[in-house]
Amino acid sequence: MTIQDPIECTQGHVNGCAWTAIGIIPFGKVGKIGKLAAIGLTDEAATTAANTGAGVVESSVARTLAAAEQRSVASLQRQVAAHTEKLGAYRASPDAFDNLGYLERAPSPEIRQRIIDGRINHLETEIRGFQDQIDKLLGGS
Amino acid sequence: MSERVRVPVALLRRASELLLDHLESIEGDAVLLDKDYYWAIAPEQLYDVYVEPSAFTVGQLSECLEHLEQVVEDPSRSTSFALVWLADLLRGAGQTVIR
Repeated sequence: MTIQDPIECTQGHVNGCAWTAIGIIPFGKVGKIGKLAAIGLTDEAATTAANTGAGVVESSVARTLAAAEQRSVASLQRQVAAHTEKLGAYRASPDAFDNLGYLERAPSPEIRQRIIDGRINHLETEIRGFQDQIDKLLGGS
Repeated sequence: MSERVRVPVALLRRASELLLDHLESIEGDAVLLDKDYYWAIAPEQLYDVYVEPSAFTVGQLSECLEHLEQVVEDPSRSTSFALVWLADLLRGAGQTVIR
C-alpha cells in the first residue's frame, strides 16, 4: 500500500481500493471478505487476487470474467505491485537507478530534480494505466 | 473512411522478424545504447494532436529492458502494455543503429 492508494481509491480506482484495503484490513480477514467466487476468478487468479487484496472489491465487480480476462487481471495486478514497489525504491534512492550517470552529471540541481520528478510521474502514469485496465476488465467496459 | 487503422498482427510479426534479422546482421546479438532516459508523453495526450502536449514524463530504457526480461522469464507476466516497453527499446535501437 502507498500513500497514493487511498487517494486513488477515493477517485474510483478499484485496485487502489484493493491496496488500501490490504493495508488496513488484517490479512486473515481478507479471504473472508473476498468472496472471490462472486467475480468468477480461477484458482490461480483468485490466489493472486487474495494476495493483493483484490477480493475486497467484489461488490463492484459482480460479473464472470473469461479465462483470458482473469489472466490479464492477474498479470496487471502483478505489474501494479511490481511498479508500486519500484516507485517506492526509486523515491527512496533515485541515484541507485541512474545507470548511466545522468543524475550525477546533471547541469543543475533543478534539472536533476526535473528528471527525478519525470521518472516518478512516469511510474505513476504506468500504475494508473494498469489500474485503469484492471477497472475496465472488472467493469466489463 | 474507417475510423480505425487496421493493423494485421501477421504483418507486425513478419515485419518484426525481417527488421530484427536486419538489425542482427549489422550489430550481432546485442545493440549497445548510449542513452537511458527519454521523454514520454502522457498516453491521454499522445494521440490528441488538436492539443499541444504539456504533460511529459521520463521513461528509462534500462527499466524497459528489465520489464521485458521478466516477461520472457515468466510469460504469465505478459500484458499488452509490455508492447510499449518493447516499442521504446526498438525505437532506441532504430535511432541508434544507422543503416
